[in-house]
Amino acid sequence: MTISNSFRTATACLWAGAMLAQLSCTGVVMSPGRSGTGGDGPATGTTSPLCRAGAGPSPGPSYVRRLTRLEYSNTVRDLLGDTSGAADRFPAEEIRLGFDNNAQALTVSPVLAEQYLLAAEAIATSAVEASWSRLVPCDPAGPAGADACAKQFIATFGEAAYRRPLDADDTAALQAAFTAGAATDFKTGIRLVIETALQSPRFLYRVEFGAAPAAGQPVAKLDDWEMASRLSYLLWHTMPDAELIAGARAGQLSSAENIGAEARRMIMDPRAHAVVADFNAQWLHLGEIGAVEKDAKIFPKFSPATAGLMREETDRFLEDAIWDPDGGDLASLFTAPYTFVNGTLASYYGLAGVTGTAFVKTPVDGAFRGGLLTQGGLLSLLGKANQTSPVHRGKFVREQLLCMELPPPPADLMIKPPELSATLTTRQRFEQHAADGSCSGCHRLMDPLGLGFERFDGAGLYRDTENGQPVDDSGQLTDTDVDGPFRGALELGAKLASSAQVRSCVATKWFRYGYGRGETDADGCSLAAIQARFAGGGYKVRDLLASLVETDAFLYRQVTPPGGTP
Amino acid sequence: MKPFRIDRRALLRGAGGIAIGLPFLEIMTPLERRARAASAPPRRFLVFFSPDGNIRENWVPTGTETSFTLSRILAPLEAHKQRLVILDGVENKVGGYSARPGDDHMKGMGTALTGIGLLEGTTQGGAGDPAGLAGGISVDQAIAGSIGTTTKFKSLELGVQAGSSGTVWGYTAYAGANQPLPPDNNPSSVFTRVFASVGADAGAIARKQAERKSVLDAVQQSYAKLNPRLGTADRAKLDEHLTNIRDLETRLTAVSAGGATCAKPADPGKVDYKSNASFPMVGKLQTDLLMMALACDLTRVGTLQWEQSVGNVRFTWVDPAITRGHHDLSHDGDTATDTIEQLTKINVWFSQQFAYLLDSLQKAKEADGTSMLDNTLVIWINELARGNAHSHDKMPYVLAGGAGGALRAGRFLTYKKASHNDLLVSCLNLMGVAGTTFGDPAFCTGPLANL
Repeated sequence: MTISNSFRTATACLWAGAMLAQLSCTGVVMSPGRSGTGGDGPATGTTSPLCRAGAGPSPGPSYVRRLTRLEYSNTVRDLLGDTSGAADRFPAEEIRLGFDNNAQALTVSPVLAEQYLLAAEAIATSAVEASWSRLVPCDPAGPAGADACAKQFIATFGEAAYRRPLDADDTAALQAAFTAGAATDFKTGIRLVIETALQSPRFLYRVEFGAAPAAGQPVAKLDDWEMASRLSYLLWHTMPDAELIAGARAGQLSSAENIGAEARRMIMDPRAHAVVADFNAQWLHLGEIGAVEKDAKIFPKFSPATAGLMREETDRFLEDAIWDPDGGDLASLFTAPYTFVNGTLASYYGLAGVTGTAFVKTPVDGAFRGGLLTQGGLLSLLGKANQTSPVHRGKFVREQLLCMELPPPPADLMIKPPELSATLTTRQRFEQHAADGSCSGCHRLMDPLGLGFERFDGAGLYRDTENGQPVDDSGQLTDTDVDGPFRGALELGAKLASSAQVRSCVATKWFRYGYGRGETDADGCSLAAIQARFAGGGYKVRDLLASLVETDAFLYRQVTPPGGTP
Repeated sequence: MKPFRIDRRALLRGAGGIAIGLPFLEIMTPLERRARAASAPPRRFLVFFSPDGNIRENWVPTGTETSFTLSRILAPLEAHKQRLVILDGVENKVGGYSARPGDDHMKGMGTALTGIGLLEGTTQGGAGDPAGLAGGISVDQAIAGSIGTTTKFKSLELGVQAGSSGTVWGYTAYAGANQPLPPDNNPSSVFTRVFASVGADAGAIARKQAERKSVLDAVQQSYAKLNPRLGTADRAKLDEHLTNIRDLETRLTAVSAGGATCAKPADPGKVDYKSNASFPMVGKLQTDLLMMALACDLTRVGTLQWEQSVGNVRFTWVDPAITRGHHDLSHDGDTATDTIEQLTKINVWFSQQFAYLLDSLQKAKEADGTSMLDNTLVIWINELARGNAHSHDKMPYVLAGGAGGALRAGRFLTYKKASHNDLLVSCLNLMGVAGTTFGDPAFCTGPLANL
């Protein structure tokens, strides 16, 4: 059955965070959505999506979704064993609503169309050379004949590539490609079938039409093959495996119970961990850490290699904290008293007792460090090349963890950031922001928060003093549900760990990432279901992934597609 | 076998647009002879983009229209002074004044070549409303629609650490509203894409093209059957994809016609094209690749996009004292004299790269003995006039080249609040494309006066 009616209660309280984001800051702090974005933006205005008790399923819009580079790479790996990284040449996805998999942003430019062609040629050529016997299980010279063998190949390979049995149109197109190639030889025919399949809409996109709706119903379930793809791309970023295909073929992927059972199986798999890691990398901007560079005169210990190690530190920490069978709650991300370092990174931080190149779980002091906000990666990323940046640190917490949007400075403002000083502390230099009326309106939201990180320099190292003066790491949270003073990043982490606004924010970001779109007014019940599962399990991050298969947005689609039918 | 004939016709199409009905002997004429026989070398159009505004007091020349002295920033172009038209006082009005969303960087970038306001969207920039991508076709693509239809590539968009943000900050070229043409930042990928077939065996090329045609025909068949079954929003997206596949098929039947100075460039191999320090090296590689693509007549329209709007490259090779990113620096006020000096040096460096491009075009000879620079129009653009003011008035535009004899160069032109839409119209006209408006007609008065 669908999600239980107990979820269908008014959920305005869960949206307190979003409501709080409607603040003033020499203007407004608002959610990024606006009217007229065709359902792609998040819910707009001051009204939050509500879940009306007793209403039928409300799945919101679902779009055809193009494979991302990551999904393409994983899919050709699982389909043809190709690990050549062909998709690395594709242009980067447009980032929309913070993620690279927004369905409406994933269009195909002329360059990408051409790259699809080149990739298909390279992958198909290598497949027919390297894995012919696995690929083509029949003998074209055998008694059944070459044409029968080709038909068999088209049906079996086509089903795998298109993630569903072929219809007559699909078959005709692949057959045409085979016939053209077979004028040269059988192998060329097979190669052209593969090249064609890899550029076809059924491969490059996840196309859904839904199961037949009950008469007069505005929503329908997915058909079993569509559901297999939804599960596999949501939980694994790749095509369905043999078990999902078997389930689809047997018509067993229409009940919420069976879908839940498949999801439980799939979440145990390392591929689900990779999905969570990809979400984390985009949510927390971890992908940018490896490229961080610092001014060697100011931060002589920091090298380009340091940045790479810091990225690995945070990746390993998140993997451990999120999948810890006895923990895994959101709070541990901000407070856990350990990290992962190898010998080089331990010596960078001044942590004793770790040597060698392997990363090991290591306790941190617990007085100042604990959780990802105190790890070198984010601290360095959110610092400037030659100093810290309270502005960027504060902005990151507001935007990524509290889901508030801060507009950049007014365009006509002459900005003179506080100059480096040999005597003043960063806090003293930034007092100008608080004093200057044109800055303080917005900077009151960033600086008092970001200055709480001052015990860590721009390259993530602990410090007691700055320019000979003791560091003051007092900070202030305002306009949130956990307002108040705090001292240091660890105390800030503890506050964030208890914040309903942060929980709601992370859940909303998972919605956007999981479904490749912004939330709409129709998604109140889906968001409520995610929140309820998250809360019910004690705010375990991995439950967010699991909860995404239990919503109306996942289990149904609107009979009328976005924009209507032509 | 048939594909061989297709290839010969394709070669002809690539050379001069005459594809069908030529007598057999004409078809067999060697490429070089046909190229020489052609009446005039093709016209070409290039865009050179650098971001974050300029420093006008160190950029604007002194003197009169025809007797002027180059500024410190433009001094590296001295050798090409008689091939330049420096425009002062042209304003990006549609970026500055139209009631469209976006902050000033976004508006300046999205309108730079399109002359039309941004779409609504979800990218939150500065003080303006959140915006989407540009609202119309860019002038280079409009020109390519006229002069780029017979070459293997309608246009090439190359970047140097450009366009990785996936937002309006990252693109200059647009095929149409909401259709950015992302610059390729990787010289290795550019080489493979552009030059893979140059110099290959003609029979092999013919076989490859016949195969591609079969595959793309079958692929198009799949989209043509599926697309009508989709909802309106999805269908628009897949129809655009289908259009791009059709264009691909047309282009792939054309190959290099060769040119007087066409030679397959060296394969750059795997290039570290993302690190800060690699910026100048990658810029030179991309310039060389673009040059050779023009020389081989693989394309006639190109964009060379250095960084992107709000680009934050640290120009440490220009001066070790420059430790902050370009955009960071551009926000400092006018009283920060050290910063103004650093920004001036950065723009001097861009001027040197522009000079290198012009040098290369000057050295490349056409079949008729003229230089490629004689037949090319290059425009140097920026999304802002001045970074710290985020202004769009007095934009730092430079035109260069002969445009096939159409550009009266060696001039310094001053305007009072002329609209940059009119400059875009002039670019169209100089490339032989008729028109009196481009982009948002509310900001158009016709081609730029006295240009």
